[in-house]
Order: sequence, then C-alpha cells, then structure tokens
Amino acid sequence: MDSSEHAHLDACQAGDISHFDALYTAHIDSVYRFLYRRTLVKEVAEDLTSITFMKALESIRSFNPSKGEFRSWLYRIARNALIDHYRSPARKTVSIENVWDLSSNDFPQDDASRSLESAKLHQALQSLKPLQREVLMLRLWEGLSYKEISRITKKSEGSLKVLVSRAVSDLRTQMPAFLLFLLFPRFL
Amino acid sequence: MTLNLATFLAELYELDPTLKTHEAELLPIIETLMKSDPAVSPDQTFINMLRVQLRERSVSLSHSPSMSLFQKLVYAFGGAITAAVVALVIVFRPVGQPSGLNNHQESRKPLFPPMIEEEGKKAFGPLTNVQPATPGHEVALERTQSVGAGGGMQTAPSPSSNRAAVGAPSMDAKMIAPYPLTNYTYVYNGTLPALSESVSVFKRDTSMTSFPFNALAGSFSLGSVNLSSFKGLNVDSMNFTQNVPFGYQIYVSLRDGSVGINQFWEQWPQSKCQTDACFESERLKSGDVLSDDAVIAIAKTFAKDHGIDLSRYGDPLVDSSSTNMVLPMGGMEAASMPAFLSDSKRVVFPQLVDGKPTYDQSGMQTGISMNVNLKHKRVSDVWGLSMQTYKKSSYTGVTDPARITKFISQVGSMYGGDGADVPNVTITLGEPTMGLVTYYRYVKNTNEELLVPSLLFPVEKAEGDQALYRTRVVVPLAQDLLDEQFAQPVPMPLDTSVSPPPNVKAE
Repeated sequence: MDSSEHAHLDACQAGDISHFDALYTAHIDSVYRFLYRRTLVKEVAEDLTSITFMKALESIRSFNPSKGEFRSWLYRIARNALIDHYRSPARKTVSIENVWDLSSNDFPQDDASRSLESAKLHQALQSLKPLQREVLMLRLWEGLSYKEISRITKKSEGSLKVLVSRAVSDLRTQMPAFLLFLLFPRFL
Repeated sequence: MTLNLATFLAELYELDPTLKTHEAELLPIIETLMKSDPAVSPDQTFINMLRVQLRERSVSLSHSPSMSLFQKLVYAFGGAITAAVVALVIVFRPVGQPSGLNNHQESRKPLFPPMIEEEGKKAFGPLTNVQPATPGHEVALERTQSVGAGGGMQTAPSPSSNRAAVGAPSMDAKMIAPYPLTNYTYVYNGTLPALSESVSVFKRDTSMTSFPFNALAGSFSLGSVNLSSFKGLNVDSMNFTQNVPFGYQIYVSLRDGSVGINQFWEQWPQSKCQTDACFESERLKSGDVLSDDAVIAIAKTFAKDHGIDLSRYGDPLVDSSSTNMVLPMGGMEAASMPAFLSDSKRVVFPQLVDGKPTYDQSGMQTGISMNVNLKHKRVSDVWGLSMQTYKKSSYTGVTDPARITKFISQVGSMYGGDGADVPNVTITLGEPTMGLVTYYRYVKNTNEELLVPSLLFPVEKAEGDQALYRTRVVVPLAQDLLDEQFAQPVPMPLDTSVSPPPNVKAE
C-alpha cells in the first residue's frame, strides 16, 4: 500500500470519506476484473462491483490495516458479494468455489460474444479442484500475493502455495490433452 | 496481468524443485493460462456512474441520518420527481449500459450531487464583466429613518415580509423621505492577514439543466394538445402542490438547480377567513411572538423532517431585518392603534462552500432562509435551496496590501455627494475575515455565479453613531476582479479651488 493510499484511508477512517474517491479510482479496475472473471457477464460484474464499493464505503471505518492490505479487504467484500449473488433465490445454490462448475446455460445467450475461448477456458479450468482454481486465478490473473490470497480465502499461505503447486502439477499430468486444448481451443 | 511468469515459476520451484525438470511442459501451460485471462476493463460510463453514486452516498454517510438536500427532496416531495429522475436515468442510459441489479441504486441518484471538481488554472477565463454590487449599500440613514431597514443579512424577499412593509403604520405611502447626502470614508488601521499568490475561485456548475420531455411523455396525456409533437421539448422545471392543511407548493428548477418551498395559500388558515372575527383570531398577538431559539428549533425540525441537509451550512441565525415589530410614529405609547407585528421571523442557515462562508457583494451572508410563521409555529416559506455543485480553479491572488487599503478608501466615494454642504463621515473597519463572495457575470446568454475569495471587513464604528445598511466592506482577492473593481467609474469630485466660468453666476 503506498503512502497516498494510507493517507486516504486514514482520512476516511477519521470521518472524511470524500477521500474514498481516490481509493475507488485506484481499485475499480481490479475489482471489476476480479468479478468479471467469475461471472463472465458484464452486467452482473457491474452490479457486483457497485455492491462491493458501496459496502466498502459504508464499512470503511471497520477496515483494520493491521490485518492486511486494503486491496485484499476489497476482494473479500467482492467475493462475499459474489457468493450472495450465486446464493440468491433466483439462482440455484452453489458455492463460490463451484462457480466455474456451472453449466453454460447459466450464462445468458447474448453473451456469446465473450468468445469461444472464454467458454472453453471455463471448461478447462473445471478440471481443477474448486479451491485450486480459485487460488490459481487470484495468483495468476489478479497478481495477488499469497499473503493477500490468504486473507481472502482464510487459508494459510503455506497451504495456498502447496495448493497452487499441486494445481500446476495436475495440469501437467493431464497433458497432452489439456495443453492441446489451451494451444488450439478453436479446434476442439 | 501483473504477475511475471518467471516469478511464478520461481515460486513453484521453491516449493517443489522437481517441477523444474518439467519446465518445458509447464511453460506453455502457464503462459497460455496467463494470456487467457478473460477479464476486460470496465467501461468509462459505468466507472463515472458508480463514482457519482459513491459520492452521493459519501455525503449521506458523512451526515447520517441526513441525506443530500436534493436527494431528500426527491424522496420527500413525491413520486413524480422520483419518476422523473428514474426517467432521466433511463433516458441518459448510454447504449450498452446495464439494466440489471443496480437500477434501484440509479433511481436514488440525486440530480445535483454536492461536489467540488478541481479544474485547471484560470479555467473560468478572465474574471471580468462581473455585475457590480447593488448601489445604495453604502448609504447610511439616520436612526429614526432606519426602522425596518435592517442591517442584518441580506436575503431574498418573502411574501410575509413584503406584507409587513406595506402594512406598516409608521410609513405614509405619500411621504417621500428626505435623502441626506453624506460622504463616507472607510478606514482600516489594523494589519492585514497574509495574502496568497493564488486563490481558489468557484463556479456553480449548472450543466445539468433539463431532461427531454419524452422521458415523461408516456406517463400522461393532456388531451388538448400532443406535447410530444414539439420536437426538442425539455423539462426544466417542476411545480408541486401539497393539497392538505398547511400544505406547500414546491418549485424545482432543473435549469439552475434550485428549489423553492412556499406555503400553499389555499390550505393555510388565514386564506379561509371571511369574517372580522376570523381575521382577528388569525392576527398575531404580542404573546404569540416566539423567541429566536424557538424559531430556530422550528426551522431545524422542518429541515430534519424534510431531509434538508444542513451539513454544508453554518449555525442558524435569526435575521434581524425580519424583526417582528414595527413601532408606530411616536412610539408605542403614542399609538392610537396596536403596533403592527410581523407574522413571521426569518431564520438563515449560512452556506459553507469548501468550509468557507459565502456572502453577497454587500457582505451579507447567503444560505438557506426559512420564514417561520409565529402564529402557527410552522415554517411557511423556504428559499435559497440550491445545488452545491461547483468547479474550482486557481487564479492569481492580490498580494499587495497597499492595493487593498486603497480600494477600501475608494469604497465610499461612489454614492456620496459632493459640495461643501455635504458632511463627511469616517467609518472604521474591524479586523477582516476570509469568505467567498458571490459575483455574477453574463456569459453566452446565461448568468454565471462565481464565488471569489475575499476579505470581509466588518463595519465597527461610524462617526456620529449613525446606523448603516452596510455591515461589511468586501475586497476581492482575485487580481482580475480587484482590477475590474478599481476600474468602476466614480463620481468626479468637485474641485472647489476652481472658479466658476464667468458666464455662470454663483448663487
């Protein structure tokens, strides 16, 4: 966390939440991407991003910097929003880890433009265990440190590292089919 | 993608060194996985919309349970505005904008979120062509003539105060009061505060002015005319009537972002009186007069009940110019009829912008005014409710103290008289405070409102103990503006050392 983010957080926690604007600017992109990767639906990602930042704004005073980075606190809120979304009565009950196990029917038809690659990648990642997949995504795509991932998933850093290592090993042992898919997704 | 491939591999090998022997197999998998990130950046429209929602929420959280003034008014005064706001959101939803879960949040978005946006230097162009202060503020009246003239803060006229002035028994409409000319010299003998090389000027943002009529067209039909047939028709104001006892009329101007609340005359008791007894019962008695504290409490309750956010306003004051009693000629004892009692007192909540109080050019504080009906112990009228969306830009400041003292010395020269018979009065000014003073200028067929940092010198003492309208002398601290104020024409002083031309006979 840079010093300016510290200053904005301090100001927010002291009651001047006009400083939240700067925090929003710094994190909107990554939070949106985090949610988009897990929903693959632009409108849903936007809704959940709105919910995430609204909740963060409302509870900014409860954020404890000694317990971790602001970014991982935001991701935690986003993850909870995602869980709420998938557990809403309008949807079938499903845990966040199993989001990628949803059938393709769970995604609106008009999102077909998200490309065949996305759908097939979705399918390919299903070969991993839910938590392996989640942690791999957080590390590879979000670029979060294991410490940050630990705060989000409530798992120890050591176990997370082992998890990722095993995920990569699993992917390797599934070769050549998996590699073939990744390299030539359009032909499968 | 923020993670480096080499970093990721190093982490893996640290944990499981055997994986390094399979690097050739791992590399394409991990590389492809990293490149396969399906995420896209959020679009700018969404980012902007959410930012506005968050700012609005910030405001309401800052002053919980109050919400922003306009948001509360939107709630308090009916579904029609809400419908309009929803319609507005729908109309302005950009192509491709989601219509999903956050619709309910959008419908709550206020039309005029209070905010201050930073702009570049001199973003509002030269600070020229401002309209000068209303002439006459320098004029002092003898104390006996100053009844009702005030000296308190300047506020917009209200219906009841106007009635009070017309009905005052102390004045004869046929009488023209003598106008004693006086030369006033303002002096300040203290030290000036530190002057900054740049000052922040604010401009009220009125870019949100109207929305297309088509947003409402589907909700009603006039029958007699098809309004939709008028192309380009916009809704830029709305009027609401609360048709219940002690109801209100509410006027919302989208064009200038202001709201006016007035008693709905038909629904207030005095309008129903047809007999003397009724009028008498409605007439204010001396025992009905409320203390200033009680009047302020009523105004505050009204604000709370209707969600008028007073967080950007200072401590309320009772405007002394709304004094509730006008003495008849000769004083109370000599009166053959009861003294007139004004039926209301005016409470003013001084506005704060960027934490600084705002004033008009005569140095009177500006803000939200509420007339409190003393008989019925209710707020009857509210004005000065306006959007607080400003743009902020830095301008060259006045740094030369000599220019300020020179300006002060010229203030009284504009409206004074000349000639040997005209008395001179010296007015001593007290230590100045800093505030934002409102200036208007006419640009591109619209009035722009600028708030310019200024020094406000309180009038402390006038020779002869005269009563004065003017309570403060204003000196703008933006160089452009002070230059222009200096350039205002002043009367040519009569040079008594020059003899009259030979063909003019001195009287």
